[in-house]
Amino acid sequence: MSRSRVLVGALLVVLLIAPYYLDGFWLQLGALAMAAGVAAIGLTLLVGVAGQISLAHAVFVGIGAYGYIVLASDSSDLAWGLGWPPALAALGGIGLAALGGLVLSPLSGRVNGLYLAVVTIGLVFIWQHVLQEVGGISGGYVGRSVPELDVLGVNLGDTEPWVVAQVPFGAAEKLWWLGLLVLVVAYVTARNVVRGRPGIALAMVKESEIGASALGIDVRRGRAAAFFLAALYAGAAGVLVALTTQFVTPQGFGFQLSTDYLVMIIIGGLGSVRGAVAGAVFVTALPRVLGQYADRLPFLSQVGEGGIDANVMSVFIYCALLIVVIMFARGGLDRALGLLAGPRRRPAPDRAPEPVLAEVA
Amino acid sequence: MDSLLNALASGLSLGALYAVMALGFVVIYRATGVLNFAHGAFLLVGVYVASVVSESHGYLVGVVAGLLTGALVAVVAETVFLRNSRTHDHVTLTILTLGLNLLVVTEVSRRIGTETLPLRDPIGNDVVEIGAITMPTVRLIALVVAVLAITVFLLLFRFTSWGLAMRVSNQDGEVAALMGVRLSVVSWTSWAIGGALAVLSGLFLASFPTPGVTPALADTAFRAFPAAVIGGLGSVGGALVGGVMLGMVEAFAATYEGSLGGWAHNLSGISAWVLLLVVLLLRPQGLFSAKQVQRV
Repeated sequence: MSRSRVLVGALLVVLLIAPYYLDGFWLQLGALAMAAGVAAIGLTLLVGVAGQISLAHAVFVGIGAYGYIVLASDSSDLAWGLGWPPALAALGGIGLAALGGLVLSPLSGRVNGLYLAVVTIGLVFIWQHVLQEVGGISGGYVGRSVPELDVLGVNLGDTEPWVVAQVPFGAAEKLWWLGLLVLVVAYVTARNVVRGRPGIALAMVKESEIGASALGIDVRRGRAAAFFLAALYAGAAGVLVALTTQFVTPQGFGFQLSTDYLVMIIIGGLGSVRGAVAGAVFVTALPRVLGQYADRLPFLSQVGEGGIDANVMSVFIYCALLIVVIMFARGGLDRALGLLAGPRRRPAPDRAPEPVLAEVA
Repeated sequence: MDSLLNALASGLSLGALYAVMALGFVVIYRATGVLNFAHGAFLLVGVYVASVVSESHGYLVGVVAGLLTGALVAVVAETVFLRNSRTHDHVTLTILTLGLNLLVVTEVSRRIGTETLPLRDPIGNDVVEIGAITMPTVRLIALVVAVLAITVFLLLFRFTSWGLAMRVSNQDGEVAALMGVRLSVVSWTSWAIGGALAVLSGLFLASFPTPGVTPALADTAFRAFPAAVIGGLGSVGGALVGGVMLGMVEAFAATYEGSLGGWAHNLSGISAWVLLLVVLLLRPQGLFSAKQVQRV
């Protein structure tokens, strides 16, 4: 067994038993980080592997979140709701995001690279407009609270706490496990996509469109598929984010969130699945941890005082990191993780040499 | 009829400002091949400095300081950050400008806080009436200045050796370098012009009827994207046409959205993006850029 497998195994065990020891703040942080990890994996497939910049990732995360809420809530005067069973609604939310990706994917196939970046900025602004104008979806000024998830009669919220090994399990603990499960599934799937034929084909398209089509790769279809897959991942992340925050407003799914996802995958090392997760954890945790300890950190002021507060400071830090990674340290956190896991494995003869394909820029 | 004429006039003035902004954006794109996400940062920094300096030294000094700051920040972005990057992949460098933008906009927004800084232009909120048209004097001046700036740029672009160098290096960088064009000079001057043009449009966009300098101005700079892309990214003429189209559509949407019913509420805010989507679905390379044929 290689060193990296031992490390991964140990990490999984730690993450599994972590809810027994962590308090609410850290549990919520962890669940959010795992949700961000799922979204970032999706984006790195699109940007890093297929070479298409998308700033619309927040849109699909938002569709997942609001899709779940609208499907699962009961209808009220202020907002629409269909009252579906929550588990079905969660799948519906993911499905809606994927559907959105499918509808818009011809764009990704049609306009390339930098044009797509501009179109997707447009999508973010149009999406924000829709949320602000259609009160039935967003709940207007009141915002919307998120119904608890319920899978086949098993409650994943606070109403029916479990007791596992004499520790009470509320929503935070359960959602940590749910997030972990989704993240692992997302991670393994993405690794297989990157290493398998589709990933190699997409990397080829990124290298040279003409070369790829000369080899019989359908460029449009490949790009559209990457866009669809990214939307699907974003939808799953959106449902997780909604469940964890328990209350959503349109501002949470704007341009800033899209930028954050891009920062995550760059810091993590573009095109690397594990790097995307590491970047997601970093970018999610930084402002929240700084905010939690702001009163003990002498260089930080409180939010609203006009000084450098936790949010501003974390933007400074992660932007600086982004710039450093792009300018000097290609590979980002992925490379750091690689060093941690020991010398690079030699690829088995019957396998494609995946690190090379993923990193050719 | 009156509202039609008024929409036309304000659309033209707004469009001219967008055209100036998009022109700077395209100049940068041609020089470096990067979509400059930091355009909003250049604009905001310049206008912020103009506002601060004008408090003690008067409006004109403020304007000059603002333009210089915008140009300087743009040059720093190019020479320090983009040029020294180890990667030359355009997608990655584009994300680098996104990071620079976030950094600068966050800092300037922090300094502005929740206030609205005045620009102290001497014209203030005067209004001119020409026949049936009523428009803010500042917007009329904006139109004149924008047309002037665009004319000067086009003359330089067409008739000076700098303009020639720019056109040639965009066509084929290697050949240009062999002919004695210094690509690095072309590059940083392009960024300087881009930054200054962004601030120029920003100065007018922050004047009456807009209340003053707020962090939201950086978002206005996003209009440069659809303007440049509608015309066909990289085409100077396209940026001008795209900018004017955008201003027109926005002004018409703002004038008539009230009478279109509930669905059109605040339509003018997203009209630019809807126009962009429509244009790109019909012509994926934009209006004025020829379909690229590549030999292998």
